[in-house]
Amino acid sequence: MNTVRFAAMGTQWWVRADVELGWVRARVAEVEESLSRFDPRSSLSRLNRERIVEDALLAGVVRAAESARAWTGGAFDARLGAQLAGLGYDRDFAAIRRPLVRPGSPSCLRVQVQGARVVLGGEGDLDLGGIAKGWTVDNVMSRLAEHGATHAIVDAGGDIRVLGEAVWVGVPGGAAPVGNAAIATSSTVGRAWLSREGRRLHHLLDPSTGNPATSPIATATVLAATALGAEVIAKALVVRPALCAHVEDWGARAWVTDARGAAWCTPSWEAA
Amino acid sequence: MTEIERSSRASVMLGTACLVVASALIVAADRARPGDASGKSPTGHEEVDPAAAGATTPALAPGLAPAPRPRRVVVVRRSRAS
Repeated sequence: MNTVRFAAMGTQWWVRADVELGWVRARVAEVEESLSRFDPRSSLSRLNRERIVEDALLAGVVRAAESARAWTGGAFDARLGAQLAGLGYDRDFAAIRRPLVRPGSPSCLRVQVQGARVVLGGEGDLDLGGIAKGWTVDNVMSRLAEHGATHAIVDAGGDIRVLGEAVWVGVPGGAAPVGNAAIATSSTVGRAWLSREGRRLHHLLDPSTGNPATSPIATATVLAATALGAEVIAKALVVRPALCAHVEDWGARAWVTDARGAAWCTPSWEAA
Repeated sequence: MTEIERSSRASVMLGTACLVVASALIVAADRARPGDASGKSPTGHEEVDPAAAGATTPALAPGLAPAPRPRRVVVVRRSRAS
């Protein structure tokens, strides 16, 4: 088995597989260069500035984000980049020192994807931070399978996809076996900061208000077929807890914790 | 045995008998309380059947149940928010 570790997309990556891994870091860097909201040269930054960009990779991820917005009923929304920046999350999280706070508002951004072309209309920016890691984990795993891998683990700071035999993955307050599946956790606890007024803010915005979601769920961990699906559903559950009732309709399972650390799960998680 | 000694001994025996009867009556009354059927202990505290606890705990969100107790396993990776 081969293993590589590196930092990318604001987190630590760990990849292990029974094939050669020399190309993985370069592939993740290539995706980050296209999708980063914090790099002014990225395709996403150009799109937010110029409102039209031709980039097949970006178009694919935007299409996936718009699809996720549809099937989560709007609980997942990548069109909140301007609101997130307005709340102070306008650079790599490690660099946030003195955020500016503006009132939030729902997004009225219009997104069109035609082939490799992405066009934005109306006010607002795209932020693919809620989907980029999951998309990239799936993309790396697809390429590992193309390279002949039969057992592989791709871990992007806790967004994990496993090819082959199940391994145990720790989740807040428990553990789950993950085999030929993916798992991701979202939380209002990790990426949080204080406004100038001392108000606690976090990065999971409620699309209906444009402000940090107020939720009884402190962490949501989702087991799904793909890392993208797990990441999207985990965020949607924190923003809209009532969607917990639909998780298994989406072929996924959820494990959530409340502010006291008590854990809850969907019925089939117990069978895992 | 003098008359006084006989009288004193009879009083002690009568007192003991009264205590035994009173204790028995208190226990019988507690067992007969309607609270028993609703899970009340003789001291009035709520008694919760651990097996049924999950069914009576309000859910955090619809579609969720209290999570099972974590098993001891060897964890290979950790899923966390990052």
